[in-house]
Amino acid sequence: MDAISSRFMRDYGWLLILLVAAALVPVFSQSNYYISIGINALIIVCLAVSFDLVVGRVGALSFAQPVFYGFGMYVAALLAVNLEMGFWWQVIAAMAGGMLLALVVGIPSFRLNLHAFAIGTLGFATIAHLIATNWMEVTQGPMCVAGVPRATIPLGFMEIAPWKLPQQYYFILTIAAMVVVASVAINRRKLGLAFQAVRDDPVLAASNGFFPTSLRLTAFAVAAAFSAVAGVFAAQFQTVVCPDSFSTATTVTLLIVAFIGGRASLRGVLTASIIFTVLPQVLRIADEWRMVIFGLLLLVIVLSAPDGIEHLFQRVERWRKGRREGGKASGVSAQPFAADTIADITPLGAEERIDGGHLRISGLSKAFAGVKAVDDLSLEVRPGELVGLIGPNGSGKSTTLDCISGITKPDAGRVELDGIDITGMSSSALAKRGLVRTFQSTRVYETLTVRQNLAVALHGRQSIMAEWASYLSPQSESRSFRERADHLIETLNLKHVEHRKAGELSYGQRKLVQFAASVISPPRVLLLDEPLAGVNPTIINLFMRHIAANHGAGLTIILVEHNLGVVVQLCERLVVLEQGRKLADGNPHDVMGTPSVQEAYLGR
Amino acid sequence: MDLLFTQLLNGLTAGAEYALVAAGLALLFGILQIVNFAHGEFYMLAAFILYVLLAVVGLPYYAAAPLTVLLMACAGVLFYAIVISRVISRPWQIQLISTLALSIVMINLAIVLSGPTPRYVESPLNNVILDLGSVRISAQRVLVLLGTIVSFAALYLGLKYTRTGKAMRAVAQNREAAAVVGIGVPVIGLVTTVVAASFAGLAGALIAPLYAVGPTMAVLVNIKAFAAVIVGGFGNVKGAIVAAFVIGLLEAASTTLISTEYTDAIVFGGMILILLFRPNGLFGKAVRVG
Amino acid sequence: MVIADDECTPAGGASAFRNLLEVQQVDVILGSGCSGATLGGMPALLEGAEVSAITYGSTNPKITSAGNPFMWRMNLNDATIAKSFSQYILDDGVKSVHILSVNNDFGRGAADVYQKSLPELDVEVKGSDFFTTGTADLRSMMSKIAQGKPDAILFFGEPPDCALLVRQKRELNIDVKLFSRGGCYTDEALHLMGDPKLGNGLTEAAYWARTPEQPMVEAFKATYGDYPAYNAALAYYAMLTVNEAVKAGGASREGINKGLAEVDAVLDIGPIKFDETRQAYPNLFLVRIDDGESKVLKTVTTH
Repeated sequence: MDAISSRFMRDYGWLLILLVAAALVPVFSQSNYYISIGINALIIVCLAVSFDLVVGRVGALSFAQPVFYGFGMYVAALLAVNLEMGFWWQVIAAMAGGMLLALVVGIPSFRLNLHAFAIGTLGFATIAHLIATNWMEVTQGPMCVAGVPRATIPLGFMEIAPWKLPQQYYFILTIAAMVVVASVAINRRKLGLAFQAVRDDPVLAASNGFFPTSLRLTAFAVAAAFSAVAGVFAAQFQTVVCPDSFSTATTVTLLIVAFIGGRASLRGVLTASIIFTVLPQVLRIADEWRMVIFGLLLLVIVLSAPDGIEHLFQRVERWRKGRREGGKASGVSAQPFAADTIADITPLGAEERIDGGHLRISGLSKAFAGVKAVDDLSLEVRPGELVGLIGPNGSGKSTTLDCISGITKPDAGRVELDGIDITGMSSSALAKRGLVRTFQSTRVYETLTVRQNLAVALHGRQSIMAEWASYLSPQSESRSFRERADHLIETLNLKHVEHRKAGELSYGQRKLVQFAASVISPPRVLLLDEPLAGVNPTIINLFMRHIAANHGAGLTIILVEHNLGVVVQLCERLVVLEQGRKLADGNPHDVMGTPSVQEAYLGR
Repeated sequence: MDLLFTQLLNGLTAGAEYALVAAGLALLFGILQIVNFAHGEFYMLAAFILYVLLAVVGLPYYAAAPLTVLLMACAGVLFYAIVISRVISRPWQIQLISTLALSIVMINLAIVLSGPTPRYVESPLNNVILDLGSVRISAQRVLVLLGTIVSFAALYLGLKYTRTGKAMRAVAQNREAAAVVGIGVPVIGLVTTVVAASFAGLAGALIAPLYAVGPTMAVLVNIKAFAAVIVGGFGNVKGAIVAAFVIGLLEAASTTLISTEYTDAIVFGGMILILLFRPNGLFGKAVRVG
Repeated sequence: MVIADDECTPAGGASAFRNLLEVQQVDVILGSGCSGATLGGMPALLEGAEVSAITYGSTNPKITSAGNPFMWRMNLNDATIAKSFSQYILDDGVKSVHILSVNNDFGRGAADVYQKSLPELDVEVKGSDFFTTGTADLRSMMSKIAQGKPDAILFFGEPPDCALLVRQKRELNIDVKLFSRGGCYTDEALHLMGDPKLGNGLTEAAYWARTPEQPMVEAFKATYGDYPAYNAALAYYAMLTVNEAVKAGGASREGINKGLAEVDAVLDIGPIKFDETRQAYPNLFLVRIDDGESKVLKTVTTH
């Protein structure tokens, strides 16, 4: 019991303290002025948390957040003034409408790269502002919708009528708290991990079976709903809604709060929200110099503490931890690893057969800017086969893997998996069918721990139904996952770094993590792109044993590799590419003996 | 027909103004990958410098205009020393916030020092109206058009043929690689910032007499310039200039044919459409992903 | 006297009003000059402070129609001005106009009123266009307007916008009469025209203009070296009005509010007496630019 409550306090304690402090504001100050500053700060908190959901957690800079806020304001104002609709209708309409609007804007915009997405949302914001200004019949344009009534809130057993400011304050505090808790909850569920994965590396996430666009859209739509709700409350608080209620000034505040606060840091964003709504009010003492001083302070802060408030928090934490541990040596030194002590490596920790896939490639071609990278390549890989794909640099090996795994679309040709045409399918869909690859450039989710890397990979590879059904479940590890993960971590010598962030690991360790993630859920076809490049002999040994074990269990594998010794030793069949064409195909010893292969490799 | 020619000319001259403002923005973006939110305020600063030189110091326009460009080049050095040099290798968020902060400071400093009401700056060409038969145009606008063409030709040749220009392009393509082959990235950063500020100076010196000098004079034109930089290909200078003229013409066409209120919506809607079909802008190079 | 920045937005108006009411503890608020900020600040007046606010520049009809017992307006509303000004435009021989207005509450509100009041007098409104304030280049709009050959352009906008209009009208050689609201006759606009004679013939219906009957004008110039702008002048008369209210109701917050309802004074800008919507009806000034100078054609009593 004690352990649970102390863990709860560690995770949520600071939020509780903040909430209590916020709840006490109207007790200490009866002044409507201070309370209204508090309300403004709480509204900014809602907006900043939702902005951070899109910018910080899925990594897409969006200028559209104030638009959803404005949308919520107008929905509430128009429903209340024109149709005399009650509070809950306003909230429902604003949230549903906001999400719908987010989908309408997001579906085309997320087809763009993230640069263009940012600009697309900027254009959308400009257009939205023009519509609010010029659609006189509905928004009344710059004449504003005035006289928005402060609604009573029917709760079934009682009615709340927050007509006075302190009541408005508690009313909005409740909503802000709910938005913050929702954001914390998302972060602590599997959805939070998936968001982080998509932000860290969308290409890897796709090859793990995630659909990055759907996840970004989800974050965008949820954030839109949060902002729209904040808008409903703002409309009732301000009682007047104008086009300028959601102008560039709001965007500027959000940018400042999110970036000074620190990426994906709730405490940073909360602190910054409060600072940057209170600061302009405090600076009223400076009269006309107010905004000049505000700008200067901002400049000084960003230049002197460019890593944001979150960074300061972390420094304080490290300092406190350092004092507590009294200079005890920290950090984990790499443990020596005796490869021989692991007698038999089984791929999944248990005696298990893998039902390997049957891959058939015919007439595959791909050209970049006129240069043929792959040229009319046909290749069949039978279930359970381990094929080495070799060839000099630029012979089209990686492009072949890219075409098979859906990273690039081939210009011509056909790829079949177990008789089903999979040409042009996205890498996300292919991963779900059990066709998995690793990357030559070694991709891992840098801000996730080793164990989280494996958990995310496992999650993405489930069927779409299972993937989405479990997004809201906690991040705790299932038993089957724990077994697999423990086994892989143990046998790949990653035990001592399993809780470290993947970005902090050495190159060789990252290669191991990437490999572990690719086999955490048994694939049917595994495409390995130079897993051994640049790693030390111990790790090469490890890889060889794991590849052999997976092969032994029946997995279909294509291994692209330059280390010919390893390839010849592991593979039962070799395919040699040169300038995108198949040069030789067959038993390793025969292939290596072919004069044309020797010529291609040794340049005779 | 008269209306067609008139609007064509209106669109072209408006485009020239956007292009002059966009040039500096595109340079910083294209070469240093910095989105300078304070660029519009540099244009504003240049206009104020011109005002001071003309109205307070009492110089003639032909002396004040080049001097404005020179002083803005100096302001560029300061800008580099105080802000750019500190954020050049920082994440884009830091660059965005620091230039945004600078923009807030500059606008509000202008309000405090000069008041919110704008001022008039006189150029002798302002009151010379050229009558070209069916269309009329002030000589100052012709000067803007000529200034745009000449300065862009100079910029283009400079980037293409001078050693510094080549080094700037090298830094634009790959900063690390450029540093490895011995190109001083700080020097190139300084040069780029100074050239960008000088272009803002040129814009201020040429355009300000047409309108008025005030703290918020840059806001609207800067948004258009920003759109031009994006549509032109995310910092491709040539693309930005072409896009600036396209925007000018599009505005004139939309004002005449569709609606004055939604002109900006048409410009930004067009921008989004272009991005949907060409995500790297009109002149941006497609990047190979994967 | 305390100054508070309203940022010209509803939220800014609300926090500025509350700051004045609760922190600075003022007894009366003069402002805001922005309709959006005034509308945003008005609910704060109902939160128990009993302080009155007098606006002298916000035109939005919702300010007086809201029924807020603490909100007073010194400046004339659009409907009152339009009655006199439309007649004047007709009498000047104008058969058709094109309306060009700034796209804010002032421009929208005014355009709305004249689109009804002019046709009632058989003056044709050929079209109505809106521009964002600060738009530098109005030439494409004017080229389009000129194509419709109206007798006059009716312009609603800020002084800098007006100066651009006048200069670019000359550049394009568009020969139409100009009628305006919003400050075309002000020193600021004349200065920004470069050559003030470019404005010759323009007629503006103004809340306020310099007339010899106002000793304040010269006194102001003697003290500050410059003539007062119209909002400074109106603020001065608003202060005189407060003074009248204090005489009638006493120097307390409630007293001022009660007193304002009873004010019935004749100031140098005409009679000040608030009606039941708390709107006052001072004189309207018809001003013409003649030989590069603004001259008051006549002052019109409105009530």
